[in-house]
Amino acid sequence: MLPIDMFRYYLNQKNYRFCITILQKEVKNILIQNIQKQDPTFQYTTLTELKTHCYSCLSEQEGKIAMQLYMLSIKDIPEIYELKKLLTMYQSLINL
Amino acid sequence: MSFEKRNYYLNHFFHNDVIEAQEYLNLIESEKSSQLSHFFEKISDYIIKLQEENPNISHLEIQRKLDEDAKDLLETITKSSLIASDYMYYKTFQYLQDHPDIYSTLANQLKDNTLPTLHLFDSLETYRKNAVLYNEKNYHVLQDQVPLNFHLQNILDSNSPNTKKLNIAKVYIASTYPQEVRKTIFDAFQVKLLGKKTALSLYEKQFHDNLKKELITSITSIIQELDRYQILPEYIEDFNEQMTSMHLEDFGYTNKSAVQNLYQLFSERYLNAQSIETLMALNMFWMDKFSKEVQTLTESFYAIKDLHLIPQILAEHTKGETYALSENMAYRILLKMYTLSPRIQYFLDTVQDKIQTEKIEEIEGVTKDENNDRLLHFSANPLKQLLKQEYSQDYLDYFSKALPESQNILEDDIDNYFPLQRLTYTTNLLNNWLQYVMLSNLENNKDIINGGIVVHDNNTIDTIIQNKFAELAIDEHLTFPVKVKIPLTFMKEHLSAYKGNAILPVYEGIADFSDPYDKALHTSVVAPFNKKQEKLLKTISDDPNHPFLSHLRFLQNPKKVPNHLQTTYIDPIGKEKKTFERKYIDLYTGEIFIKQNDTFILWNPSFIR
Repeated sequence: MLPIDMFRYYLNQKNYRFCITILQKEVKNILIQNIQKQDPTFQYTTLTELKTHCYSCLSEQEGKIAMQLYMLSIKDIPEIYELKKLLTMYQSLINL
Repeated sequence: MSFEKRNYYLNHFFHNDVIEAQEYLNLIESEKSSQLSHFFEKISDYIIKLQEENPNISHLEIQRKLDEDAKDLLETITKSSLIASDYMYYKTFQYLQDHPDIYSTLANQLKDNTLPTLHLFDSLETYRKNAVLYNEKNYHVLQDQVPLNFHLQNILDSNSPNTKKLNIAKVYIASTYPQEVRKTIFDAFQVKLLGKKTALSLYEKQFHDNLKKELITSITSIIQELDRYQILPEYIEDFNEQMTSMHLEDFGYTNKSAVQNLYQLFSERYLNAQSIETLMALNMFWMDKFSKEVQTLTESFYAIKDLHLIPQILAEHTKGETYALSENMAYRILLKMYTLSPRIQYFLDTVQDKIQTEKIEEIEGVTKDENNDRLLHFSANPLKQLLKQEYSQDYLDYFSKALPESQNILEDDIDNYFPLQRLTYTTNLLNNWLQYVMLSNLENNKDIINGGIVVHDNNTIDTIIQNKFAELAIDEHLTFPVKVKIPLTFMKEHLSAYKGNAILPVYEGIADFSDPYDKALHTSVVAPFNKKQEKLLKTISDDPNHPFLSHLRFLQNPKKVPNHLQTTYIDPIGKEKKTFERKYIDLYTGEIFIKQNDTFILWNPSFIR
């Protein structure tokens, strides 16, 4: 679960990098848990591997989220956009 | 026109794609529009040049030429995709020759295994296993299935020294066998004479030779492309300005002949004289530069085609004016591209993923190149069918109002944008892969004396490890250190998953590359040295207050480490000892280590005088 209080605190402090790190971790954890429901032997190693497993054993929505998570980790984009994207991804995953 | 936003990932509608694109564009709009206008100007100049060279050329022919250029570019980049895995193999064959114990252990473990398919970003360990299997298989083929004739068997059994046997066999094979079988027969002779280790060195050489050709093709092609659209002259100007600020104008490319000479240095003849490590570093630098430009370059290509701008560009030129893309128009055409691009990216990425796990023949829309089965062609048809269903009439309805200058036929737009997006996608993927293979091989690379993660004096270690990006710098036999920005989380995850830790060497001497106002010099041009630069470095005297020149001399001869980069130690009997002590940084913890007998030990500054 997202540590809401901590997240709000850093958001108010405008420490977006830290908020991004928290959200990334949460999105990643949800995807890992969802894969492990299908394949209990799955162990997280890298985002590249995570993406591949999402494509092969989860829904298209989760696949798209995994790809976006991967893309956000390598692209040089505005922090605020990255944060908004991750929030949408997190909300989508908990509503799936 | 505005839409109510629904969750992008849960409801995949056309309107959601447009809103996502708008949100992104609104954040980057001012920077993006000016970049696009800048590139648009460059391609316009290129179009004008095409017409000036051939006044009878039609608008359609110019458009075809632009399409061909983009296709050539994609082909060049696709061909370069072999570099990363060939370099991994090259380093692996080198490593296995130096570590026969590891070879034997792996060969025993892997008996009877079949050769697995290698994936993108695979580990050194996987390459090692693959190379051992490859070597075992081919060794037995050469040993058992290529018989030597009576004469060669006699040479093999004679009492002469091995070098003499090899020379006699070489001459005999050249005079007796047809060209196409000579190499196999000679390889079989060498393997029978010298054993398995020789087979490893044969493959090392094979990968070395292929790699060199691929690297030269890649570097020369990228330079040609950057020059064709007049991007390279901007880099040269920037480099010259920096050299002026360092009072070293003569090190730059300030006149026409110096610039011409620079282009010559990027020709096959000159590049062929460089080592693999130098070429890898040079290629990584220029691929990184290219990947920064390719997106806006392809966006300009698309804008010109979609908006049919060639006649207007030429008409304005005839009137002595320049056609400029307005900010409003730039926003609207970018909106169309950014609406489509996440869908194209997802499609490309899932296809790329299938390539790793499924048979190519069974993947919809992927075919092998007729002449080179390591090159693949992607079709956009499956994506077109999908988007036609999902977007239905919405795409045309929306863009006929938002962008009435274009016809907005979805299938045509995908046909035009898909190859350009594939070019951007492939370039970025390849750029990351090249960075990864360089990083993976940095720790034990005896050919790179100074290369690693940049740690500025004014950076706290925490800042480095918390940042999204870090800098990788390498000193090679080139005019400036190769410096690229690497995505930190991505790289450290891959490194630790595959080599057991994310510990990398630290680059030494970054402070040497700052101007008199202490501002870091950025790297805009990296090339082999020309004669004038070499001579200049030999004659000019050092500034004791600024080690810039002595670091440039170090680049000229990377085996000779300058004094200021060496560490003075006091040994147990109180004697001073100078050495180039490599430090290492753990990208997870920020701890700094030195390496003693292959073990990392925490670095203690108190050792140093």
